[in-house]
Amino acid sequence: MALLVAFALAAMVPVPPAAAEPVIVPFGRPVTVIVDGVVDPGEYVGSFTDPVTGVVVSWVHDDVNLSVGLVSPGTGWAGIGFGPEGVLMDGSNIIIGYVLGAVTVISDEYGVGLNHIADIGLGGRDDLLERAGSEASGKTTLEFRIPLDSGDAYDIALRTGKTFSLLLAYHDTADDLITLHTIASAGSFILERDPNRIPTRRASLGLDGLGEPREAANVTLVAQLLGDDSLPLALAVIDFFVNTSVGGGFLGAAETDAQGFARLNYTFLSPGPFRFVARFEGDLEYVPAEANTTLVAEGSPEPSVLSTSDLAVRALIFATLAGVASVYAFVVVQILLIRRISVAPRRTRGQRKGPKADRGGDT
Amino acid sequence: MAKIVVTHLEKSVMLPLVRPGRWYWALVGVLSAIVAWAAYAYTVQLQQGLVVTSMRDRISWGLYVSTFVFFIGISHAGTLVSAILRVTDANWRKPITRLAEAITVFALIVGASMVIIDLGRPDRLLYIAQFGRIESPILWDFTSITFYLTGSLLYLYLPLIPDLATLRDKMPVKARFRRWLYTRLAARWEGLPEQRRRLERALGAMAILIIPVAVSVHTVVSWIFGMTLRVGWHSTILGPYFVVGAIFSGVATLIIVMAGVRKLFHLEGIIKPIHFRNLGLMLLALDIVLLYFTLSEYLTAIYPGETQDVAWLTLLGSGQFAAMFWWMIIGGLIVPAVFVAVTRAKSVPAVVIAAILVNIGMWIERYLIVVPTMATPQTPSVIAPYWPSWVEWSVLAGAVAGFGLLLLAFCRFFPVISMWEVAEKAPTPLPEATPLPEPTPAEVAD
Repeated sequence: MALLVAFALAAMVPVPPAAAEPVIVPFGRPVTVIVDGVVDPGEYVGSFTDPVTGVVVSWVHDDVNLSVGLVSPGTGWAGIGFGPEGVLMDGSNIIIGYVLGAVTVISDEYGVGLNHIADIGLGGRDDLLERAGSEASGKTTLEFRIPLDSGDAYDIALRTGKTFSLLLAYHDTADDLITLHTIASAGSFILERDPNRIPTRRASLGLDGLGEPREAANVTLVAQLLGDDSLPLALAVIDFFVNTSVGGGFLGAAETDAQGFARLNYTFLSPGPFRFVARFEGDLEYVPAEANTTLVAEGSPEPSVLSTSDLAVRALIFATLAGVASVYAFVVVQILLIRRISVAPRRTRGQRKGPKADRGGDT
Repeated sequence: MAKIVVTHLEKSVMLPLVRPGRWYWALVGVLSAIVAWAAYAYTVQLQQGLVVTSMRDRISWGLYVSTFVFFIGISHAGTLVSAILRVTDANWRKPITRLAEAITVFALIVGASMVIIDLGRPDRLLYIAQFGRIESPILWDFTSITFYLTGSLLYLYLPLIPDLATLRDKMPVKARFRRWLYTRLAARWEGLPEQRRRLERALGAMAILIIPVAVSVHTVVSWIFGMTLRVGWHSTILGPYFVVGAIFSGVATLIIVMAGVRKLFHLEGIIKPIHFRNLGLMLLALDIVLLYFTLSEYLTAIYPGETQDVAWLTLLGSGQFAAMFWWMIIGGLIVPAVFVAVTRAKSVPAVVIAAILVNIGMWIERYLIVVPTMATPQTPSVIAPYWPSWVEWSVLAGAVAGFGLLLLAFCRFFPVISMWEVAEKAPTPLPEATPLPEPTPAEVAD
């Protein structure tokens, strides 16, 4: 039964169902939100009630900042998380807080595994631009404003048109930041693009590898992002991926420099073909772009990382196979000996020709 | 002319060789039709290529490889029931070892053929010899399966020798082909003490050796997946997980085959409820171990919450594979355990139903190991869609039917019970010896 519960929990742990539609965070400019701890009717452009937790989320963004009003059906802490698509808490930007009497605590935190730690505790910054809270009629209201891209390594850069995961949780009574939630849910959201600024421009992205593609050697993956005017696009994030016969995945991300170059080092652990992909997710001006290249790594003339014990491993394999084969040979010899031990007279050549030769046996 | 003396045991076991009965032929007919349909589907694939399957560049391993893993798994029946119980000198195993050993051989043949079918062009099998590298788990797999098949054939043949000699001596005179066949295969066995000593030595050596060989086979099969860096595969638990799952499905298959053979050939007096009970309890123990491994594997993956792991587990837990996943957990693991535990394995039908559920669950488990991981993208992309085509389903049906057909063919030519071993345990001579009935002319024309 415990197993069932564990699996049920695993299935319900906040991951957005595949079919769930992301919630849209509306664009609105100028922002009329006043961060005072009270969500007034019409203050935010958009709002929705989460069907799992009952938390009412009101929000709006202006391409620069995100303003959020959170009303939880409890008097304890409430929190909201913004993360990369598909993640639980790990790597999410979590804003969590509570109201205790006249004191309102709202903290900018970062998800580490299934835990969360204040950004400043990790060497980052508290990037809340404004914050306020109130408690009334058994409900807690938290309001805050954050930059879409604070530049802090412990915040997630929110971009319009891209899907992010959304976590919502609260506690009925606990006014702290550590008690496990009463209820939590997950979903996803998309920041609405400025309807007046739909990106239509097409950037060109090139990808190449610098260095000799060889087993155990490094190459530098170099992607160059140019605008449709052939000028480099700086400070754009390029994601790098690899796909090989033994698997692969996301390698890392790098920002383009003033010349539009983003670089990432990669070490070949084995010889063979490696397909690399670079991707630019797009921005307010440009639509996403993608480039790929295949590098074929030569086998290393030097002993590779894996081949230091290669000879010993080969010897062990052949010894094992020889051992098994010798036992098989021993068994075959026993069968031949069983034939030879027989006291029955051997048949003549004429008797061995076929089924018709056996006419009676021991009858 | 001396009269043939046939014991009651021999008569019970040898009768199906002469008069298998109408149900036998009906079953052969049905299975042959399925195999013929699968052969047609395969010819379509050979003519048009793998494009007739649903496999594409993103999901290049699908139903065929899942079925390969499944059949390699059930080939562990012979190892566990025959070798391990022989080494531990468990007497109750004697009436069922022959079936277990036959299952091993035929499951290996069918399993290996799935890989050839998956290649699309079977001639590419030669690439293993041409371009095989010792660093590749594919070559390890090819080697270990070849060794296991060779060993399993030897291990099937060795305890057959005394029974082949019995058949050579006691088959009806008119069955000329069979008498010729058994004479050739019986290795001039006469039951001399020295012959018995040699046989016991060979059997002892094989029984000990075949266990690590079998374990290595499924470990290496798991390494084909585990040695890659793909989500859901790159896990240290995969080796033991595969081995336990293999023995689990092997025991379940043995139970199903035992029940079928027992009913078909009226062997209720030899294959008794105690055999089902013992194997049922074994099934329960393996079920619990596999549940533990399953919990360990998925909980370890989900707890850190890494993006790719979460995407993969979402596919399983609540995504497009959720129905299969939960069927596997509940229908393939929990319900069979409850069935066996509640009845304490005393009910033969309950044990057989549990075994059928286990095998369905284990096939789904193999599918869920292969396909969702392949579907999870490694570079920016959407989840790859895959649902097997009619050609793949037909080949799967043909594989299962072919496995059954091979077993039925074996039952037609060789005794499914190890007569000499059972007789050693409890000799049951008839008060008055009766000759085996002469076959009809149609039966002789084999």
